[in-house]
Amino acid sequence: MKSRSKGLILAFLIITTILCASLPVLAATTIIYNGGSGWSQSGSEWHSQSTGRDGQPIGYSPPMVWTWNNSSSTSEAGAWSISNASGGCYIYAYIPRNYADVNQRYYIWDNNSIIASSLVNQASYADQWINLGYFSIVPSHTVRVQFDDFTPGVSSNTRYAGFDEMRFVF
Amino acid sequence: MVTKIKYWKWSAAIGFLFLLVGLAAVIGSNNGVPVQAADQIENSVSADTTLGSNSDISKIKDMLLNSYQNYDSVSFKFNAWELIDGKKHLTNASVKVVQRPVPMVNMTMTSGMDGEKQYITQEISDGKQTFTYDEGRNWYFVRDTYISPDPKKMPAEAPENAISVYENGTRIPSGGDVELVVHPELLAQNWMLNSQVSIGEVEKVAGREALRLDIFPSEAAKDKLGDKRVYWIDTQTGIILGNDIYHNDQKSQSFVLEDVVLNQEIPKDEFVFIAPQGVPDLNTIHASPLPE
Repeated sequence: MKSRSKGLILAFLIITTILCASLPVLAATTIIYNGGSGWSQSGSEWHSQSTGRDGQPIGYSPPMVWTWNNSSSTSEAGAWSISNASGGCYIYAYIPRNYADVNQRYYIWDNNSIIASSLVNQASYADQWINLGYFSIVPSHTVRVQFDDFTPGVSSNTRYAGFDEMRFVF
Repeated sequence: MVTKIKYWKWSAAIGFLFLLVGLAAVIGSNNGVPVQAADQIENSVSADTTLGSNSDISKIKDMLLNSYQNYDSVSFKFNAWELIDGKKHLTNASVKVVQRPVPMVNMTMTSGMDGEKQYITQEISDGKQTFTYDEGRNWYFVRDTYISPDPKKMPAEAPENAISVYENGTRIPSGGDVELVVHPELLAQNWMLNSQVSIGEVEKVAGREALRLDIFPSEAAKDKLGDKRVYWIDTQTGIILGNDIYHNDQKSQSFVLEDVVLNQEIPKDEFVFIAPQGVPDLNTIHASPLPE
């Protein structure tokens, strides 16, 4: 009986060790939904859209939100964030087929530092996840993606700044 | 005693099985090494395959996905316009890209509405660091550069319909549509999906031989992507030499390259950046994630 217990303990230890060693290579995916936990916004002129121009649902998880672009300053901004990041991650932004056509940067933050920006022409994508890139994040820090309506050189109220889901793959 | 030994054997066997599974998971996954140093990029040029009007889709896609392997360096001027509310928005850029041995980029771009102020955007990467300057927002910042071992390889857990275009070291994050020129994999991974593709003839664009592709987006995507998107692909390298986009049969957006020079040595000092005077480093400003 004693040997049986030893065997079970040994097997348990081996299995636990292997599982722990495998964990870092099993990617964890988190989606931050606009309007949900991890989402924040500033400004007042926000529009919520549940269907596209074809009458069908729009966004990865409707509704999406949008605001008009602004040529002189930031008036509306949104951010998707995850606290206690487990390290570097790929980040994907979902671009709906309507109400998102601004040529604009996504800013990547590690706590309170901007570490990268990625210019995406939303007009070029329809119902797709766009890979913003792989970013090194200090473990336990907050990773945040910020997007806004400030478009220097493009007349105000001519482009839709679209905000939908953001996917973080650690 | 027999029973005890049997349990030992079973326990050991189960443990060994999990060990094998764990090792396979570790070996089979590349998630742990998403980046590599610039000087580790393979220093080779792939065998020549030239496109022609008789090329099939798979050959064209292959050329687009492997374009970066077909030249060591390229410099060009990028001239684009798009209609925004009936007015022309202009983008002009001067671009230098080195693919190997160390990927480097120098892009200086101006953009703005026709007849109005043109704003400068600059992105310079020496392979180790990338400098980004945005005149419109009045800031710059510098960050380390990381290079993926395989620019077209998606992580296994990537969501459906995702594209991966940004990590071969010649990324131009501030380039917007300029990026398509040296990242034609975008075309294969995005606009050629769920679309009808018509292979045209070889035409002369930007002084080079270019294969014309007419792409007709799906019905659901037409509102944004247009009725037709025409691309001219360099038959020798796969870089995109020109693009026209049509909405309701009217040309709504266009770009074409000028002064395309391939495989000419570009001095390293072309990739040295100098922070503009009086412009703040973005990360020295007291930053707040959202405006108060």
